Amino acid sequence: MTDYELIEDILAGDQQAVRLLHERYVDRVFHYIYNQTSSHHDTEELLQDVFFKAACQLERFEGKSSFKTWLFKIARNAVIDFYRKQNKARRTVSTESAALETLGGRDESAEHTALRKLHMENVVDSIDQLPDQYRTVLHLRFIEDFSLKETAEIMGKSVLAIKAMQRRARTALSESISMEVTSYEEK
Amino acid sequence: MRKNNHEEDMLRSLTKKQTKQVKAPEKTKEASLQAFTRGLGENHNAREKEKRRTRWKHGIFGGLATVVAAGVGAILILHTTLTDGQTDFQSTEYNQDNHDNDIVEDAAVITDEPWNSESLTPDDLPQLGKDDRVLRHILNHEMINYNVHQFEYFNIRNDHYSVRLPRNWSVREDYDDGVYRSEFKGSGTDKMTFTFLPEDRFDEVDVEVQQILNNWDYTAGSTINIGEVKSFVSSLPGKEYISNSNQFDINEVELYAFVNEENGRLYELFIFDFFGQPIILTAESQIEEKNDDRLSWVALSEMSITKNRPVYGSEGELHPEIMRPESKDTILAHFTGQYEVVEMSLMEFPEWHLSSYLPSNTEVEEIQGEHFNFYRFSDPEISENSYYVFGKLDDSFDLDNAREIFHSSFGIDLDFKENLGGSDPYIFSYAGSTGSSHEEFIDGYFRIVERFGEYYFTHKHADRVDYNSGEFTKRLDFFMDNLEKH
Repeated sequence: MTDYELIEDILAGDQQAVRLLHERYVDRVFHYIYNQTSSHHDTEELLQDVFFKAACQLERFEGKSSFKTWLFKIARNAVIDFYRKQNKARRTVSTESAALETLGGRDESAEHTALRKLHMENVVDSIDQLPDQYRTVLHLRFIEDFSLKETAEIMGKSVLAIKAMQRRARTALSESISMEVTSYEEK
Repeated sequence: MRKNNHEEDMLRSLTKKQTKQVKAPEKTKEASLQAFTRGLGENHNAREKEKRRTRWKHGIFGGLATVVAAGVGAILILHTTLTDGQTDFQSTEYNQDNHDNDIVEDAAVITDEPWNSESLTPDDLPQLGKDDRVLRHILNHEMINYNVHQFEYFNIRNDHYSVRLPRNWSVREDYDDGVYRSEFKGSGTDKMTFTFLPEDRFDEVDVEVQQILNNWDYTAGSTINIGEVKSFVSSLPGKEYISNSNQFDINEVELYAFVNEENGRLYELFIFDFFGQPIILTAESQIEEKNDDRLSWVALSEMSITKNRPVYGSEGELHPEIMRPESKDTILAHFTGQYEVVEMSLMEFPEWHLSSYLPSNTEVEEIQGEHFNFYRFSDPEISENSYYVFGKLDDSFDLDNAREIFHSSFGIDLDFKENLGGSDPYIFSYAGSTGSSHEEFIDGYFRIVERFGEYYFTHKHADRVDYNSGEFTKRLDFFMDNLEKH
C-alpha cells in the first residue's frame, strides 16, 4: 500500500492506516532527529512534535513531493525551531566504531583489516566533525537515500548548494582518509 | 570503481549501520503515535469548525473576490500599456487553469507588495513558488521569430562551449580568478551572460547568485518549470535540424524569472551543472520586445561543448606509480555539435614508458611487426571491421618508403592512394573506389608523429560496410592528446 493510499484511508478515518503510516517512518524520523540533537530526551519531544504537526497538516498534503520528503521537511524545521527557541548549541553524535568492524572483508590480511578499520574510523570522525549542515546533507543523502532535489527541498536550498555541501564533505573525508593512511604507512 | 562512488558507497555503508543501531524505543514510538492521532483529531475538529464558519464567511469571500478581480484588472491594464500596438501579444493566451495547481500555498510569495530585492537570498529561491504575475509576462508571449538561418554558433569560454544566438548579437569575454564570463548583447537593451565557475568551486555559486539578485530591480519573482522550456524549444520551427540528442540533463536546471512591472524589465536566472561545471546564465530583456523573447531558453537548450574534456568529479583513483586517474568519464566533442560521454580507462605502455586513455570497453591487441610494434584498438559495438592503431617505429623503419611499408604490412592495396594529408609529408591517406561497389570502399590514413624524441605512428582504418562515422577518429585524437611519458 502506498503512502498516498494510506493517507486517503487515514483521512477517511481508518485507524489501522494511522498505525501503518506512523510505523513506516517513526524510526527514520527518530534517527534523523537523534542525529541532529544527540539527546534522547529532546528527540522524544521533537518526534511527537513532528508527527503532531504532520497530522495537523495532513489534509493539506497534496503529493507534490513524496510524503517522506514532506515529513522530513517538517522534521528539519522542527529541529531548527527547537534550537532557536532553546538557544542551544547543536551537538554531534559519535558513531559507534564497533559497527565498523564488520565492514572489513573476511579474507583480508590482518594488516589490511587494520588499515581498513583505520579508514572507517577516520571517516566516522570526519563525519562527526563536519558542520551541521553537511552532516544533515550526508544523512539525508546516504541514510535516507533522498535525491539531490529532494534533499534541496527538505533543506530549503538549491540543488547546487547541496552539491557544494556534499562535495565539501567528501573532500574533507578524502583528505582526512589520505592523511591517516599516509601516517599509518609511515609508522 | 570510481573514487566518488567508492566514497559514497563507504558513506552509505557506514550510515546504514547507524540506521540499524538507532531506533526509537517502544515507549517513544507509542507517545509519537499518540501525538500523530491527536494531531489528526485536531485536524478533524478544525475541519468541523471550518464547516460551521462557512456560512457566515461568505460575505468575506465575496469581498476578497472583488479585491482579487481588481488586482487582475490592474495587471491587465499594465499589460495593455506595455504592449500597446502589438496585438499579436495576445495570440497565445496563458491558460491560468493549467497552472493554478502549481501555485504555491505560501500566500506571502504571491503578495502584491513589491519585493525588497536586497532581502532575497539564494536560499530563498527554491521557495519562490510560481507567481502568476511573472508567468503571464513570460508564457503569454507568442513564439520568437525563430529562423534557423538567422542564428549562428558563438564559441565561448575559451572555445570550450558553443551557443546559438541571432547573428546580430555580439559577445565579449572576460576572465578573472578562474571565472569566465561571456556577455552577449542583442538588439536594444537585451543581454545575456554566461558565468562559468571552476569545477571545484560549486560553493561560490550562491555568492554569484546573491550579487546578481542584488543588482536586479524587480517587483515579482517566480520559479519556471523547466518542462515549459523543453516544450517551447521542441515546438520551434526547424528545431528538428538541430541535434541535441546528447543534451545534458536539462531537468536539473533551476530557472527563476523576475519582472519589474513598473518599467517592463524581465530578468531570468538559470543555475545548472554542465557535466560538473557550475554555470549561471542570466538574461535581461524588455517584456514588450517580443522578437528576442525566450532566446535564453533557446541558448540553454542548444548549448554544446566544442572541446573534449573530462566530466569533472568523475576521476577514479590515482594509479600508484603513474599518478594519473585510473578512469574518468570524458565528453568527446564532435564537429556537428553533438557530443558523447565515454568512460575512459588508463592504458599503460610500460615498454615505452607511456600512458593514455581509451574507452573502457576497447578491445586491445598487441602486434609485433617487422619494422614497428603496435597496438590495435577496436570496439565491435561501434564497428566490426574498423579499428585504430598506435605504434612505435623501430630504428630500421625507412621513412622514405613509409607508405609502401605501411600498405604492405597492413594489407592495403597500393592503388588506394589519395593524399588527403595536405602539406604534412608524414600523413599517408588512402581511399578505395567510390564507384558503384560500396562494398569495396575502404579508407584510412597512417600518420608518423614525433613524441618525446622518438617516432610513433597512428593509423585509422574504416570501411563503408561497417563505417564508424568518425567515432574512432575522436577516440584516436583523444588518445594522442592525452599521451604522457613517465
